[in-house]
Amino acid sequence: MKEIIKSGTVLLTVTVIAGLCLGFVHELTLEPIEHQLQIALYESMGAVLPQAETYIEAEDFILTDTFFNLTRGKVNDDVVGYVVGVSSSGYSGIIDVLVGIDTDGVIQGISLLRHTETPGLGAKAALPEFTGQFAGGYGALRTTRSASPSQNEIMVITASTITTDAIVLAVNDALSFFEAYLR
Amino acid sequence: MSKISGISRIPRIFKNGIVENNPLFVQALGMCPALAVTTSATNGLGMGVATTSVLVCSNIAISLVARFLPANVRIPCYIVIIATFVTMLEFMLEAYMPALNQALGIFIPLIVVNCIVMGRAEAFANKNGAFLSAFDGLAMGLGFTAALTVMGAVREILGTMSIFGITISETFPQTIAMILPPGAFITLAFLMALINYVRGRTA
Amino acid sequence: MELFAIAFSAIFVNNFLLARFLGICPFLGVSKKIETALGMGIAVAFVMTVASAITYIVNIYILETLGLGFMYNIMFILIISSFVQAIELLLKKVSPVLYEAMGVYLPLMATNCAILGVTVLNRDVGYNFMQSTIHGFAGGLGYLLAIVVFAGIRERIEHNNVLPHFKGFPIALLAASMMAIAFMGFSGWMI
Repeated sequence: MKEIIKSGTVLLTVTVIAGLCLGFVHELTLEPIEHQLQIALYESMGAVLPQAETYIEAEDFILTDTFFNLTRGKVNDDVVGYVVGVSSSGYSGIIDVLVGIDTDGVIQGISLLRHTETPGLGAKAALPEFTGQFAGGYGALRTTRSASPSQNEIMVITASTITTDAIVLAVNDALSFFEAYLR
Repeated sequence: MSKISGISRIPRIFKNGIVENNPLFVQALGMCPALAVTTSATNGLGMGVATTSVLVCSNIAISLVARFLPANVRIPCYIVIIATFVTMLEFMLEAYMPALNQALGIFIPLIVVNCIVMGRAEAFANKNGAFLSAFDGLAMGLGFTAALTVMGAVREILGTMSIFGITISETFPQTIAMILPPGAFITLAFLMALINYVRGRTA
Repeated sequence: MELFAIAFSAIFVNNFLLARFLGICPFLGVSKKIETALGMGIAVAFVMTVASAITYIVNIYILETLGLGFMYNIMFILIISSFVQAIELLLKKVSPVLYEAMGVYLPLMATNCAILGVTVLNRDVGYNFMQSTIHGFAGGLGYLLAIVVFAGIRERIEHNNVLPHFKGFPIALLAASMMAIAFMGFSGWMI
């Protein structure tokens, strides 16, 4: 019995000392971690809505699994655009898309926040060659296999039509959301 | 009673950790991270360095407190010490190296169950001084890092025709499967067979 | 139903062994015969389920409430190793038959990254109690499935003519790679 108490006390002491040291490091890194998250946020927002200077998360909308982010982009106090985060089902999992839309409903840019598409195939959708096609689009977009797509057409990635369709669907969802609530 | 001078054991410690008893290829420890994060040479290197840092710190700490721990509770104490260093590493990476943090993902907190770390604690750190234990941790860590980097390099070259992010060839076909799960098993299988061949010759 | 989706994904699409690479060491070490693989798989499934439940409760109601969330790694692994030891002692006393069947594998559970892995995943993704437990259970089932099938394959190739340097781990890893390819067929399946 005495042995168990001794063992238990030793373990408890070790855990408490460890916890104190860890707590110290935790406090130390709280700010840098927050900073990193801010940087990541501004980078991803800035990529899709470059004309804004500050990005403020909208408090007045209820977010869902599909619409996971709504941010207003502002210059001084004027809203210059919105960033809408939409999810859709890709080929091998959920794709999270950030869509930057200005106050006229024109897409400024998109980026993929998170996806698990196949490298070399669907994962090519994350590259600027693909995402760059979306800028300037409005209303509703379509996919096309044509090599010279028009303004509202997005060229499909060869052998990754499911991925392409999923992203176009997400972007169209963002545009409809804009038309319904933000215009 | 004569003692072998600590310093003179160091070369043997390194040879043991990197070649003779390589944690991955010879002892077959740490296979989970080896298979999961070696999708590129950089990731393999990053994981190796991360594990090595924990290994060195935990070896030092454990060698310092080992004599104060009752035998029946020593393993849980080792676990607490190792887990503390692992979580510290996790916070540091989150704060200062977010890209590596993302790439290694869940395998950073899982370093605590990497058999290499606990293995060296039991096999070396609780019997030797802090100085030598640090070197043992470094040696095993280097062996692990070398193994992971090699695996990552093989998979990255075959899978994307690039190494450490630098493209080697635009035209040579890429075997995407190499950076997907099957490629991990295949790469480790061939590397282990290669090591068997090399050791078979010198044994 | 969402819980079914979590379960299906954990067993097939994101199989803990073949897709997530968690729990590889015992996978290669204990899968030479179907009986041992079965025992190991059941032990893993059992511990994964209970560990998911207990660590969720401890994390949410004790650690987070006290602002000690950063201690999660230490606490989770301590809980897992103590639980495993406790169950082993219990089994030895209560059911020697069950102990023979799967109790001997319990000590290995403490360093099985699938178990700590699923608890960390539950915390990262933010599953609630039911979701965490189902995730742990399904993950364990997927592990059991993979390890038993794998043992079946290994038993078959036991007496084959394998190149000398590939005997043992290398050929087993190649067999595992085939299984991984097969399970890749599930990728993208969503319920």
